[in-house]
Amino acid sequence: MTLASAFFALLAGLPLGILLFITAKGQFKQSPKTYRILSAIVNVGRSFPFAILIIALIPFTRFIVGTSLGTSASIVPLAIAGAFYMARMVETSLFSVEKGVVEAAIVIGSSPRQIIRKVLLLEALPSLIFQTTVAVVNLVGYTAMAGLVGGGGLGAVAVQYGYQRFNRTIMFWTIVLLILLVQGLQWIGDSWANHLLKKRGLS
Amino acid sequence: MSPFIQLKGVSKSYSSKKGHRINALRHVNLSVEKGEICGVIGLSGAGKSTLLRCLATLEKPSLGQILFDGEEISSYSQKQLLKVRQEIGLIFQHFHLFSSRTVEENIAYPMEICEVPKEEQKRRIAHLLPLVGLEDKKGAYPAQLSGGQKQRVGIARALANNPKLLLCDEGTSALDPKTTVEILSLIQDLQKKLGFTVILITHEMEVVKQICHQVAVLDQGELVETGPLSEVFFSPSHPVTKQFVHKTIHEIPTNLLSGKGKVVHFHFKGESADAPIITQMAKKFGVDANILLGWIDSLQTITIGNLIVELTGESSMIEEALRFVQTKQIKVEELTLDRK
Repeated sequence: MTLASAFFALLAGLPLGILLFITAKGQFKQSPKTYRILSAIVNVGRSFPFAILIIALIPFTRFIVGTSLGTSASIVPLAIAGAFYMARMVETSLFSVEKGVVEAAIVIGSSPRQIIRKVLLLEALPSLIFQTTVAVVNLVGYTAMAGLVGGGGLGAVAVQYGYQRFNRTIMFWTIVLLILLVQGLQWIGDSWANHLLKKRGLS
Repeated sequence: MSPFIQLKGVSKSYSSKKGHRINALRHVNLSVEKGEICGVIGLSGAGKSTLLRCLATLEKPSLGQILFDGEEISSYSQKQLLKVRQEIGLIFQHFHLFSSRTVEENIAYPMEICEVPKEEQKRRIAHLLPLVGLEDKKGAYPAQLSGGQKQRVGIARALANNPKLLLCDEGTSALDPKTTVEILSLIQDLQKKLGFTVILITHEMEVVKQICHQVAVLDQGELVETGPLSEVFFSPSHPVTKQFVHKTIHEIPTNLLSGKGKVVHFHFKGESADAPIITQMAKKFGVDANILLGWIDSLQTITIGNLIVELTGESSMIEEALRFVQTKQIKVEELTLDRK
């Protein structure tokens, strides 16, 4: 469940983040109006307390998945919250790319699409990986909250069996599994990003 | 034959944050011939970067036209500019290489943009690497290279698509003096081999001296002087040019002045630099010359000498002596200095 929602979050968040970045002041597709609107949407999206977001999205969730309960249903709010979070992280990562490098790409005659695909995303890749790892780990935390309101997955198991039924053993083991999951994800992300940095001679 | 690059009445202004108008460039007129190396020199804030950015199509002039091989590119759309940019190569003070790509891949980038077939890409890379002296570094990443090596990659990348114009934005300002000389020699070499036109901007006269054919002096957005290198060096007219060309006046040891004589600056060009005028002045006119300062500039194919002397003697004899000196193709400039 975490992976699925992370996937959709990335799918929506990445383009949103890219759009935010390139319309920002001083960037090659700058457009103050567009930036302000997008920025406002993302800010509002991120300020929503997750628990409330889930509930607010119930009609939408029902429309997409057919139900508001269970694992698949949780993916909808998780992906949406994740997307807004990812958008900001992507924007931040892209800002870390030296402006001169983007200008070099422009002067060479790259189209905007080429700049995004061949320069921005690759140059910022280690940073993007680090940020995504943080986002996914956060998502694991959110899944537990989803479990509280009728979602599925490990979080739900921990809440329903462990907390509501006072089954200590189950609660204990689900927590252990969650910790392992987080550690594992963190390790994968860090290794990949560090490998890239080392290869590029940057660490 | 019309010049390869022409700037006609180019002006560029910005509004600052406080709403003031900043005139970065004012009515700049400049012509650069095909195959020429033109150096634009100026102090910080003179407008050099703005000029370069307009030439590189990163900015559009507020007024005026820029002609590239006869085409007026200053009015082109973004789409049209994509094609023009593929004929221009640019190297930067801080290199701006792609850190995610190896040396080879950096050089390949412009070719990928132009959809050059892979075979041709490989061929061109194999041709460029030895030209810039980096064959053994083709698999390295920019972070693993020295400054000089990075700039070599920058040059190779700029030349990957056989551009007609190479622009250098303070390309050696971040390099140590020895590496600067190497990089400039490299550019000069490549220019002779491949025939492209070069426009470089710098605040260092040494750079201009080493490789430029033409010099343009920028001061507060205005082009105050242009001309062939030897002419500008030999007879600088604008104060800013003089500042760059001469050692500054306060380097003259004024404590050595007797205060009774005339201080003169002799400019020698080429053959006249051999003439022993000091002794001739003494013998023919009885004029004593106290040498205060002297230096020689070797400009690629010509030598220019400078001598600052204080002449003492009868004023009529001094006048005759100076007239005599002028007949020897030596330029005479009278200076007024205060004795400290």
